[in-house]
Amino acid sequence: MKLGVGLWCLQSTATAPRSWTRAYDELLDDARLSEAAGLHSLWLSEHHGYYDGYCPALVPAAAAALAATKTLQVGTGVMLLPLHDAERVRVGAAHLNDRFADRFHLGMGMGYRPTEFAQRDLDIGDRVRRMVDGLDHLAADRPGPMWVGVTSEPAARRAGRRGLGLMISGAFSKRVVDDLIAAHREAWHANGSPAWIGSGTATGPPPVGLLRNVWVANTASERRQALDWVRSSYLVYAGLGWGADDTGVDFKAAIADSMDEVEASAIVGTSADVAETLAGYDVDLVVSRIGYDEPPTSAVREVIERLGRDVAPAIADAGRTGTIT
Amino acid sequence: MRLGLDLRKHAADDAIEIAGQADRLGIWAVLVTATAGAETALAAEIAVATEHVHLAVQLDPTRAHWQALAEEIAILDQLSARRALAVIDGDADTTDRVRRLLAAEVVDGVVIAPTAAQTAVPTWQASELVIAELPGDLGGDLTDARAIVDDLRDGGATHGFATWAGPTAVFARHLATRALTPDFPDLVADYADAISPNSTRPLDAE
Repeated sequence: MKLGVGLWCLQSTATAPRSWTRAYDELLDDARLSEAAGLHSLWLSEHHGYYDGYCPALVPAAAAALAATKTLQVGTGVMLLPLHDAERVRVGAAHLNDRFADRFHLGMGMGYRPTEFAQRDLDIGDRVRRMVDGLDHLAADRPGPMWVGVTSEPAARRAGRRGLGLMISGAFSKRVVDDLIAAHREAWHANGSPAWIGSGTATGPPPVGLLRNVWVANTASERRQALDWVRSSYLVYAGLGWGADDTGVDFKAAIADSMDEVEASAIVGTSADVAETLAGYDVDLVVSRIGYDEPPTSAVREVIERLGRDVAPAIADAGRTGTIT
Repeated sequence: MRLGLDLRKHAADDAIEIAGQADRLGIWAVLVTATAGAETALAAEIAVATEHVHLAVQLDPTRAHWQALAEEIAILDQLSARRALAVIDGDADTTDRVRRLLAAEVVDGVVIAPTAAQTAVPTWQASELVIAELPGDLGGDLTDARAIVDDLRDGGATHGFATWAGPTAVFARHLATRALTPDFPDLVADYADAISPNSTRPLDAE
């Protein structure tokens, strides 16, 4: 499996206020460092009109990260497809893959904040239809590797039926992850095993990417610190009102329990510990969710280097290989 | 007046190369665009490759909500550290909404975050832009180009963009400078050609 890092949301949160201009400047530095460390990819994420500036426009941000690097893959984890015109999304993704040697991965999700739909004069009740229509438009003329971010089995099946990659949220338990993967693959088989349009050579089901809260820590105090950073980073999602049915995670209705669930699924330990745990997942890509708002820049950069130097080589032959390059 | 380069008809690679020259030669701004949906991707790529030149990006609102247009410009403004300029190839109402959002106004309940890095981003309707089609005489006769620039400046324009097929350095030395003031000293620019005929020297020095 490949190892990437995420999610760069470019925020200035109440927990850790900072300059947005600095955040975008650091995006380029972090992309260059991730590439130098030997990591596969860096992933961005989207929301709209939230006080902290959670990145609302992923195409220019991705273009900048791609322009600052030569081999690093850059992905959206995820772009909220129902909020956009699918043809405009297709053109943007195709442009990035044309300009940057097929290094752009288009990850898409549905969105869940009513205000984001209302501000675009859209009805959130139409989001599934808009998502399906958008996926069909994009699947007909694929502008590069495409992934669908999911929090439910119906969504995983939507991706599988179209031969699209699956991107699984970082907050879920291994049981939920395995169930989503099974639903994705069953739908792929049942719909005639459509080909994955990516840059890999392997045949079989389209790839699965797994977002995980990961931190390399060697001491008990470092572990506790990292877990506290993970917990506080989900305050963002509490503010955004994120929750998912039947997963044990609902920051809208049960913040404390959800944070415990997130902490339980976080992978924090030595490089060897982290590699051993990640190797237990049957996936093609792990996106280490390290883009928390609280850690100092130096800590984020140190963990990028450790992941690239120690963890990525250790899991290179684990999980599935060959579907993505 | 400020006079920038109109690169909208250039292929991406050419636009990036000329924008880099403009950046090093102190030209105020370049105007770029791309197929609808890729406009700010190209501008962001130029932002990474440059440090000083302003980036005017023309956006097609046909398939995008005005909030989305303002958000893309705001991100470009953050990425470029306050160098974004917005050009909306649509109606006056859309242009006005984008301008107000970029100034951090709540428009009909709609906001953008992050805000632009600039306090307000100059936002223009494409049909109102001053565009000068300068004859790119590679033989060195700048008479007609000078006259066009003089007319624009003396007509009261504060900013505009020029198509120019000649060397970027000639535009910087003779025309962008000329646009700034009614009493531009031709003597200096012409003698500069004689003393330093390779007026791309600032590029070669790198």
